[in-house]
Amino acid sequence: MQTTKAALVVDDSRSMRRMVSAALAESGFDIIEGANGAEALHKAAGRAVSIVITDFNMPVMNGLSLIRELRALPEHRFTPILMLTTESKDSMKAAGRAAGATGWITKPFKPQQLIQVVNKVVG
Amino acid sequence: MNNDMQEFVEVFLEEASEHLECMEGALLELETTSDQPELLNTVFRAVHSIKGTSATLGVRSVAEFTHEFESLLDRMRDGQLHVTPELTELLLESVDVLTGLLDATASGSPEPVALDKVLAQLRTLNKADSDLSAQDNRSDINDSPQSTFRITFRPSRDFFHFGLSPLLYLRDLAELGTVEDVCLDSSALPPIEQMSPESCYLAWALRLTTHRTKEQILESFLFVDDATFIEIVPEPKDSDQPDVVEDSHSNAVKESGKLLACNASANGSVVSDDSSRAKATPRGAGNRESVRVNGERLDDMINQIGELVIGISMVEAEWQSLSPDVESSAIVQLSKIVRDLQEQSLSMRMVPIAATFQKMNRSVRDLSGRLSKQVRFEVSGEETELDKTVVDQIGDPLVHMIRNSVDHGIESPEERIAAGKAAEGCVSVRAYHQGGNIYIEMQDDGKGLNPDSIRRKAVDRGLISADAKLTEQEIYDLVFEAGLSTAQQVSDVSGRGVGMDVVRRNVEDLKGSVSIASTPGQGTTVTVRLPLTLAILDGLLLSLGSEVYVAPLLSVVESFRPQPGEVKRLANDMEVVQVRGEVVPVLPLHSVLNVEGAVTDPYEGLLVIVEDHDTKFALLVDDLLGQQQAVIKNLESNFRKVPGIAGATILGDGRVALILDVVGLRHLVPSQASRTTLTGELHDCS
Repeated sequence: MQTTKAALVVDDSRSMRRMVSAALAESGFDIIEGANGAEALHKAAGRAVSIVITDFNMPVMNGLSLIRELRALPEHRFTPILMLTTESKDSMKAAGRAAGATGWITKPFKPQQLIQVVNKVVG
Repeated sequence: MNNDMQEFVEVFLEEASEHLECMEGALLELETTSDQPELLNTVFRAVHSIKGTSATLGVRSVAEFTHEFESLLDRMRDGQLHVTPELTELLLESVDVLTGLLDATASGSPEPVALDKVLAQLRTLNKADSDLSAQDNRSDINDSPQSTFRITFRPSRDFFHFGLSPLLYLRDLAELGTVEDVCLDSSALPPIEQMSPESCYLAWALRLTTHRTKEQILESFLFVDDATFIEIVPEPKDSDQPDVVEDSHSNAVKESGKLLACNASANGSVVSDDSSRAKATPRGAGNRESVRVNGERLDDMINQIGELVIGISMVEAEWQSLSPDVESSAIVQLSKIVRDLQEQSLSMRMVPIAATFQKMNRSVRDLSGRLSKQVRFEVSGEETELDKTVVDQIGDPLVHMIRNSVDHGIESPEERIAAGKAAEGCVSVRAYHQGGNIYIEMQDDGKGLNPDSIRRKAVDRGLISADAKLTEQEIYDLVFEAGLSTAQQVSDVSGRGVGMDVVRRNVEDLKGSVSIASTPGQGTTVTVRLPLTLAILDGLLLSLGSEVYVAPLLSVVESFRPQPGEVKRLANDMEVVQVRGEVVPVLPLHSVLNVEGAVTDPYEGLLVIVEDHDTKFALLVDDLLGQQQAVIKNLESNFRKVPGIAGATILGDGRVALILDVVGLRHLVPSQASRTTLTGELHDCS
């Protein structure tokens, strides 16, 4: 059975969210959006998601906590999760990794770059 | 794409302005707070967000600037730099420059003049380590001749737990060139009873013939974790057996540089640092989820709901006339719902006054620095909500008055010490609700107003006669008269031609009032009273001939039918009434408004005492009809401005009634100064 691919886009910045969503929608993803970790977690719980793209710094629940929480859910143990980050610092990536992130995208990026990276981790 | 981008830019600009407000607020608190890390985080997050989005949207000027700004904040966060007044100043200037840059992006106006200076300062502090666009220049297709590599790929046990899949990497390798001799190494597979289905036990070896370099192949292993083993060995052109095990994974990573940045091991301190940041959710930022609505549409809706209220009143009236003895529970319930709805719709226009207070704070800060005065700024009640229109119109006058306080009120530290006060002056502002009004009180502990100086000036300007007898309060009230500036010399700070008279006019336009109290040597207090909302008013219905008028209930003090002899006619044909010893002029509404068939004899009608600005006067009307909430309809936009009339409303029975403008009517009765002479006259004739 062919199911559509869903992408969960999490960022507290509306413009960033729209931008990422637009790029993903163009490559055939259904988009679910969340303005912070908590909202995203709520929306992702209990459903299959092909990829999660989350910002790092967010109010209420940050990206790192979101990743930990998602990994604790059986349905998202193996879901690819990409962090959007402005910090090119390795420590950030390491922290994300430790929480279970699949990879990261450094802002600024072009939509094509985003899609490239997404294709890298989505089968 | 271009159009799409424009749309993103607009949303971004909107968002950025919210961030800017939040930043400024946090920065102003920075010097006085005990919780600097949290505030720095708040500012950092705001700058960070602007930076990320602007860079992505290609707003270069903003991206470059925020990069420096952010780096500085980051160093402050890390404790490399400490908060000093100079640094705070620079941060505030940076906010200004950023505001300017965003304005420039929005409207195409020139970049702020201070940009280069501030940017240079930031760079000096940051020792310029910008690598913002370092990623863009990688060469894509390599023209180097084909070569063959032997690749070993052994994913870590936890590979799946990062959401990674070995299959995808093999797929990507195949896209780089020709893959041959793929060997599956399953030697690590444990007996089935010990096997975890979530772990990866497999490894692959293969030969890849490609134009790419070893580094480029390594790039395709983007995101693999630390424990994954990757070996890429060039096959000697002539032989097909490699005999050198050239590099371990960590070596390869070093060579590949930053693009494959998976070499950092997670260390404990970083993780804990970040979780502590997660706890420090900033107060102002982000948390309020809100929907932006065009103000006009909101007003239209509020207006419609107002009509609905009138509609239900009409239904009530009709029901009453049809069956006066039976109450319709359905109508009662409907009416309650409609009124609740109206209340809610009005509350949508309400915004906290905090943003205005913040502007004041900034103003005090800038000004005290410029004038070398030490001023502490205290705020309370910043969560008090006001109609958006009121806030918009009152903001500048309030800021102006605060500047006045700092400029003219607070003395220099030397003067203060000489007067036995603390060197640091205090300017405070507080907002609170009281009886359907909002009060905003601005207080300073400066030198107070000088009644003699005000009096002299008022005489000079011809506002009062040299021998006028005025109480101290009446003298203070003169500062609200046009053309009277109390500053000894016009400074570049307050003396810009915007005087207290303008402040008063603005406040009165909003149906509010302003008063001033002062004690020489101890300070001045200015109190502004404002109505909660402009859209609706509690009215007292007055009948006058066959017409109905509405007086704002807040202005009404009392009403009564005068006893014979209480109303006296003065020599100038003016009538006054004495209320508990106070002489109050009578304004015959019927003659002012030219209404025919109304009661002209005060002993047959009623006197409604109204008050504006401590001035009382009595309106002569036929009768009182009751109270009603009146939805104010603007008369000016539908007809023209009429003196003494504030607007119109629709009554429960569908008739139109005019709303009286007490402030406007006041100007139709003799002024306060001449009232003292009236009192004398009255004594003469009694």
